[in-house]
Amino acid sequence: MTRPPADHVGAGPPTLDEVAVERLLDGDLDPASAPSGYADVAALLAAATAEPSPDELAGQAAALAELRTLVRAPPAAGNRPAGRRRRGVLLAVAVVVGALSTGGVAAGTGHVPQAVREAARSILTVVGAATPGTPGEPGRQPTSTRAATGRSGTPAAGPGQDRPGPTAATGAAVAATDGRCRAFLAGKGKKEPDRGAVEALAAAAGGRDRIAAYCLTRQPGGVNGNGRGTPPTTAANQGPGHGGPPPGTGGGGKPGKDDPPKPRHRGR
Amino acid sequence: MIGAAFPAVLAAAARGDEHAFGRLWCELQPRLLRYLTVVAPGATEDVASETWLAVIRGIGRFEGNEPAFRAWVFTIARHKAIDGRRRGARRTTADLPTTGLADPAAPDDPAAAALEDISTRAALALIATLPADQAEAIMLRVLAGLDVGQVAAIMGKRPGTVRVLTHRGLRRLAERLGADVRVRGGV
Repeated sequence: MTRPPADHVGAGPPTLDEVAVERLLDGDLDPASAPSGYADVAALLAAATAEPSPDELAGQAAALAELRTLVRAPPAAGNRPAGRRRRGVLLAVAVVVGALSTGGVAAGTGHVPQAVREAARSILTVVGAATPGTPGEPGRQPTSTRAATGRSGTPAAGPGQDRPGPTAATGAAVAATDGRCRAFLAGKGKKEPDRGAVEALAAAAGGRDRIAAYCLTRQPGGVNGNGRGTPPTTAANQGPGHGGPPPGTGGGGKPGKDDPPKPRHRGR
Repeated sequence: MIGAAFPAVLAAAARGDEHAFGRLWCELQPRLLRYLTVVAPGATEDVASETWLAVIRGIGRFEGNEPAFRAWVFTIARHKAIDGRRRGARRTTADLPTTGLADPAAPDDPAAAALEDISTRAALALIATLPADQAEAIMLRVLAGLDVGQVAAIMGKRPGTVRVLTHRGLRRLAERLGADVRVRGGV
């Protein structure tokens, strides 16, 4: 146990009872009402709990960008509970990724199964990534209203447009990115993906908050049937419907500054 | 405190509603930063970011009222802070940042700075001079607004121990502030 030094002037501050402690810890105790010897402590705790400063709130945009990145679309009216939707999205994503990577597309047979195309389109809508304008999309997932209104006038892709061109799946680099994308999509919401892989994907996608959209659209035979390694051009046009502009500080969600504050008044 | 609207805000945030999540974030982030300034100096922003990532991932499964939510968030933050310390982050008051501050505290005399100009940063700097457990107990009670039982659960200690830590911490703060006044011949 620690004790005040023996030569301490006087008896030091008196022992507090529980009531006094609670009042102090509330942080809004008027120093004039504080227990004897604790007026300064009351003032100090009030300063510690002063109103938030602008710097402390500066990282909000980055935090919301992280929210979007982790596959949480803004709710449409009457949507299902988050748990079910998230599982549904993850399962559907896994199905799409699995089908696209193992199915006839990679082998260049030239036609994406209808069901897979539908799943890809609806998932991309949910994650706010680029899809051709499909306001009437029936889909299994509720359509993100923001994604829908962000569309250019591209009509829904018909069977002809969806036919993928020859796949550009050549080269170890492309295969490596494919692997990272699969791992990223499969691991979303479950565990932290490998940081090195995430950094590589972020570089390729142009930002951490674009990884989800990038991975989904770069699959050969993805929604626009582009078949190349790069996302379809419509992805670039879908500004508002995309994952949103990257935060000023880039991925990582770091607030710009640390606490500074100047107390205006007390409060929690 | 969000108050009566909290259950609706939580549910909306769990669905990915950005406005709702933003409310939770605004309510907690400043407190989180101040807590981490004391328990994870030098890694404050990183730990805060990691905390929110974990909150985003887990919020769909969280059930509880507003105080429980705060306790959950600070529990995560504490674990991240401990992980950060294991990875080698230092714990010194010299790590407190100086950017964007109204009145930077004199690092060699936080008590004096705290008396001369009770800014939030100076207050936190003085709390940070306490023994780690005392500082953390006070921060969880005051900044996180948690009760003794919640703080005890988070710190892995008995409620009686938390009370003792809090009392000692407050007493030590009073001594430091009072001692400085005596030395300076002030009021």
